[in-house]
Amino acid sequence: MTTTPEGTLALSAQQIRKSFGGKEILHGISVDVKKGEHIAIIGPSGSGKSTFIRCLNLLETPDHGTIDLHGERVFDAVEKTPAKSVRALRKRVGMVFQSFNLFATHTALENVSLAQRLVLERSKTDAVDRSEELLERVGLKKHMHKHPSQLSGGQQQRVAIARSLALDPEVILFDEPTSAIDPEMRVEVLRVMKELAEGGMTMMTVTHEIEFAKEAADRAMFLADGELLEIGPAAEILTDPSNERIRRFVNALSGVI
Amino acid sequence: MQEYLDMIVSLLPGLWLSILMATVSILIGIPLGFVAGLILNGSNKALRWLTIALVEIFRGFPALLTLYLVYFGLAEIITLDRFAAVVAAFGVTTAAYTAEIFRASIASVPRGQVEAAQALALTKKQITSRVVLPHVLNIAVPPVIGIAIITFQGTALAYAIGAKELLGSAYSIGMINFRVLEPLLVAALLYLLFTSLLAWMEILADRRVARISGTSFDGGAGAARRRQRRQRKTGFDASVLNTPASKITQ
Ligand SMILES: Nc1ncnc2c1ncn2[C@@H]1O[C@H](COP(=O)(O)OP(=O)(O)OP(=O)(O)O)[C@@H](O)[C@H]1O
Ligand SMILES: [Mg+2]
Repeated sequence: MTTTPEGTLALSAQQIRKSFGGKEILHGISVDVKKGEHIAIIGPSGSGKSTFIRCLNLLETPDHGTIDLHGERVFDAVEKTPAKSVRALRKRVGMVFQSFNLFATHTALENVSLAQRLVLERSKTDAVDRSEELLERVGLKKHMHKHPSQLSGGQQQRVAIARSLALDPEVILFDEPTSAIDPEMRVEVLRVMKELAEGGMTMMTVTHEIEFAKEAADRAMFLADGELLEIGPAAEILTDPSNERIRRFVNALSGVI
Repeated sequence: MQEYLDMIVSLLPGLWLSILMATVSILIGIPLGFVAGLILNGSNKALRWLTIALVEIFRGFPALLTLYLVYFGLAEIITLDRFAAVVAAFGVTTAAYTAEIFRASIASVPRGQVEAAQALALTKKQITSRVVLPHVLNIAVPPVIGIAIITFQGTALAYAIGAKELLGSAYSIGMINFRVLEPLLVAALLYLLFTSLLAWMEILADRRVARISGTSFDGGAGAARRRQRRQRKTGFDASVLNTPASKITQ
């Protein structure tokens, strides 16, 4: 088990590189995420934020680099990772998508239960009990028998968070979780996320919500053109960025010229 | 009255045979159509072209021609009774018609839902059976019932090779009594009853799709068109009425 003076590393990604069609998108990005830490990932469109976090649960296979979870090597680009190990990693690293991606033919409850039944091999009653508990936690128990199409974007995203929590992951990755939601509905999702972060969940969140990142993230990392430009305390980096490029970006997002 | 009841009773074996022919044709056609849909979405080029050719052939041929080819053509090679010829011919015709439905429904499985399932550590098999298949069945059922209606009506063609299905029995009863029209009308009524039943099932299935996915097989285009038409009529989009006043910004 790798420990650092600050505490245990929940996730360590080293030198992640990824190319699409011969064009390198990520040029070797490294990050160490402490247990219980929440890291906000910011950066302009096309900088590789989505590609980076998709590499962390192997929805994209990095061309180069390693991933450790709690000190255990779970991915190394020099070896072929068998499907079974890929699934073992994904069980430990949850993912919440911009477009929710709930299973449309399943109810909210079934969405949250499915992986518990199939992956954790929980009994039906245990899975339902746990799902109800999680839906209660995100404020949606009374909607549990609805299909995604009957829920608002904010509600769907909270179901998606519950679905991800159902596997008791060690880390949850969020890719712009509120970008596809009406502004007035975002706050309920952000509140759930903030509670999660405060409850000690290890999280990485790609977001354009600067205020949220300042408030709910411990550190922020800024990506530009597939490189890690800076990483540091969120409030510091996002309130008064010393880096000119970050300052311009943050000001543009906050509507300051 | 009694006369008509008698007629219905004497047509029942014919109706039963029609239903049986249609059911077996559909049971042959749907799995074949599904496999064709999978191949059309697959990466094997040779198989794909072969499937496209077969689909075009059996959609292009009039069903009666396919039936003749099977019944008289295969008779040169193997002995085939009428029933087998009918279900073989209409089975492949049904497969050709449903192939396109299955191809489109398989292609329409949202990539994001498959990724979400992968991210939840599901195996490929589990993703196919628990995410892809429900989606495909959900949207394919209503149009497949539509094809089933056509297959059922198509069984009347079996009369042309002398099968005693519904139309065939009506006609022979008519010939015996020298009154053809009445049995034909009774047969028409029975066809109508049965296809209406199927059409009603199609509507129910369609509603289920609309309720679950908030859309139908045409990706919601039908519903959107209907909404637009309403809007043209009333001059405003009625859906704003469902928005709480506090949320209306303009
Ligand atoms: N599957 C893919 N195939 C080819 N190119 C890709 C693929 N995925 C991403 N890219 C490219 O990689 C670059 C980075 O994309 P990525 O989606 O990671 O950016 P991002 O920072 O998440 O942007 P946004 O803020 O718009 O979501 C883009 O130029 C994109 O076109
Ligand atoms: Mg992105």
